[in-house]
Amino acid sequence: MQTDAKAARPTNLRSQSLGSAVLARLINEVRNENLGIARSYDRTHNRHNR
Amino acid sequence: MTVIDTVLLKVASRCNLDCTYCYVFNMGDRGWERQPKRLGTAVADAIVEQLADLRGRQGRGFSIVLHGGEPLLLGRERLEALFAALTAAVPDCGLHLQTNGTLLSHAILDLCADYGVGISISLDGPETVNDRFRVDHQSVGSFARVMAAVEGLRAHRAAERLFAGLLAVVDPRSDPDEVYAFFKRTGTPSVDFLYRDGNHDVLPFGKTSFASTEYGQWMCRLADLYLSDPSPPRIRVIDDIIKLLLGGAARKEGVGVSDYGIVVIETDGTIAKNDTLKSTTDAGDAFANRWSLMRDRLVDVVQTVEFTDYHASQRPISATCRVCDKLAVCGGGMPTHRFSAARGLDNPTVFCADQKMLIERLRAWLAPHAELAA
Repeated sequence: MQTDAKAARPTNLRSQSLGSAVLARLINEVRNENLGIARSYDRTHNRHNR
Repeated sequence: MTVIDTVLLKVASRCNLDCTYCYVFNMGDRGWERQPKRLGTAVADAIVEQLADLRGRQGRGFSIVLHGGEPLLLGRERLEALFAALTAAVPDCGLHLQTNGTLLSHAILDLCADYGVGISISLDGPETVNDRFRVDHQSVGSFARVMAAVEGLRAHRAAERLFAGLLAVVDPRSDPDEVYAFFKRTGTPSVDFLYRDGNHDVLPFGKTSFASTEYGQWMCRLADLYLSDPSPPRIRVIDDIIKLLLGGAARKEGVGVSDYGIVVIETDGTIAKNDTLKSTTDAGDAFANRWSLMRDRLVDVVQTVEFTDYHASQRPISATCRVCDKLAVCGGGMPTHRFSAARGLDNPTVFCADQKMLIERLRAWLAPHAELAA
């Protein structure tokens, strides 16, 4: 399923014209994603929800 | 071998609050009554030694989350001893504290700062929203005490490292505009929103049927506010769904279909399943083998058929989910929300309609901006 999602990735999202700070940030995070590196945000927000 | 990314340590089995919706105390599970009130020295020693072994065997670290009950009921001295031992034994594993905040003194903040412990505080919203459910054993609201803790945390010299965020449970009858504005005012770096626990036999609070969308409507409004805000805090559940829609990965359990491994250690050293399963039936989170760190090796347990089967059960199995075009993003939701007595976890999440609505709303936000590469 992850592969399907990757295949469907929009590759030309223009973050500067998005008009949403959240979308611009998330697009950059996805572009620079490295699952091998746990950033402080991810480490602190562990997988558990509670 | 199942790779563990999150270890939940139940360092105190009781809580000084009595939130009416709590899945640990008020949804039918009585396991807490059989637990010691606080983590003892022998169990703590076993935890530290076995986590070091697990870290070494799997070749990668994990998050260690102190949880309860209310973890700060462990007391400062025992907390410090545990932090020191874990830091020495598994130095690359992040330490975290999920607390109701009412016992978060300056001394505890200093201690967490010394050991790099991230703190997340449970808070549902402004006073009228929070105190409807988050009350103490005298039915007195917790809002004022929690806000004092949030202020203390924000004012601490190490606040930027310490303050992980706030954790809120959605009341679908509340006003999402009011709740979002409130959380912005707190100055929190992030908020995570959870759905109320429930399942197909006991519908979550505020939900009138499987097909109803009270939570979906609330979350869509929250998403609109969030995505329109030029300087928002992070909202993890929305971030995760958008990242998946963009082809990235999610970090939160119950969102997306990437693998995740959670193990829970009860206060007496018992190894348990995801504790949210307590909301399904009494001992819904118990393994048949009733393993304990005082008798069994964690590295062996995570390789057993029963543990592997439990781990696999995090993935949805219902026919509805398997053919759903939103599965890669939705992930089937939390296992506990799929439960029915008749079919076990072989159901879509009870929030299926809500999740579909939210995913469609977020897709709509992305649609005008997504172009295929030339």
